[in-house]
Amino acid sequence: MWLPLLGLLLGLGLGLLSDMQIPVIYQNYLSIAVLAALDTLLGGIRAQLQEVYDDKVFVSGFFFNVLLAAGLAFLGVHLGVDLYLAAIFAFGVRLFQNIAVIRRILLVRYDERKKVRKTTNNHKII
Amino acid sequence: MNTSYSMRITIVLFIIGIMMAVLYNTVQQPVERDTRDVWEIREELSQEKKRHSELLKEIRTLNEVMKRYESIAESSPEVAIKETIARLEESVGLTPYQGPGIQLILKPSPEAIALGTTLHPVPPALLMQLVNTLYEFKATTIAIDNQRLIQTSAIRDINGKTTVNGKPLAMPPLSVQVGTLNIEDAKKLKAQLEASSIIDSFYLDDVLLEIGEPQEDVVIVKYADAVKINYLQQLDKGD
Repeated sequence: MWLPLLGLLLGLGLGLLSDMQIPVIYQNYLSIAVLAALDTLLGGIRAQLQEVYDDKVFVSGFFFNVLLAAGLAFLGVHLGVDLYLAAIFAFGVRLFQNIAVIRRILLVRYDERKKVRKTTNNHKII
Repeated sequence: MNTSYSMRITIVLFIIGIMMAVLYNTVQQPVERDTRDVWEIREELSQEKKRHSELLKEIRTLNEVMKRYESIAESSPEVAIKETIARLEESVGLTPYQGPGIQLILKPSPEAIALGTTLHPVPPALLMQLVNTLYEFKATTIAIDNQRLIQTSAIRDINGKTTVNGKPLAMPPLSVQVGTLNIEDAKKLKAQLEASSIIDSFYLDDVLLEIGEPQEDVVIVKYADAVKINYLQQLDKGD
């Protein structure tokens, strides 16, 4: 549980302390890549909770989505169409859907645990 | 929780962290855009050119000094050193100045006299503004009420009295002598002063600023005290 959080903090710390910067024109690509990465991450968590998690799907999805999003934005810039909006929309919608599913699963689990605790308590009393 | 799953999530979060931090850095420090127009750039260019020519001039004088040193050094190094000291003292303000310049007189305004307003010393901020304006218009030497201004001179309020170099100023009328490089500069200085808003600034404080005619022979006293150098240190030889 703590390991992923540590990873995030380590990444943030490394990025902030090294003071890395990218040219402003590539800012759009990076923001879309972050969105894609977040989407994949939440998808992975959901899959784990639904017990359909697959390593290959997760890792390939992560890189593929990030590259596809950046590529779409790149293409959009060159075609003069704001294609990155499509990526933002798609990822945004999926992000919320994933979060909703995760929330429901967690709520169901919480309720189940409560029920189990109640029944065990009842058994003890009997 | 599966270890491989946990490791994958950790790595992905690490990458997301780095990306977010980089994005944050980029958004926080936008590249400053150059918004100057052609005219401003031209002006800056001309200023830089002026500076360039000034630096060249300085290099030339220093070269001359070096040559003179070299030629004199063998016969009498003392003369060369004395000459340099005299020149440095002149530039610092330790010798009296005699040359082209103008004289300004600060008087109480006629209205103040007619109304019988109480006289106040000229405020230090106003004097500072005057001095800055004068230097801006190419004044080389300034003395306020016979107090020569040097690099470390302070104009300030001490116990309600305006002081220059730590000496209290007299009540108006008092005189300000200004030296310039040549008589043309003095003429220009007079014209620029007359056109500037400094006269109005003085008038608001009931002081009338009278600008005298450019003269060939303005005498300005030398700085009376010893120059205090508290924070300068001699460099080691060869540095």
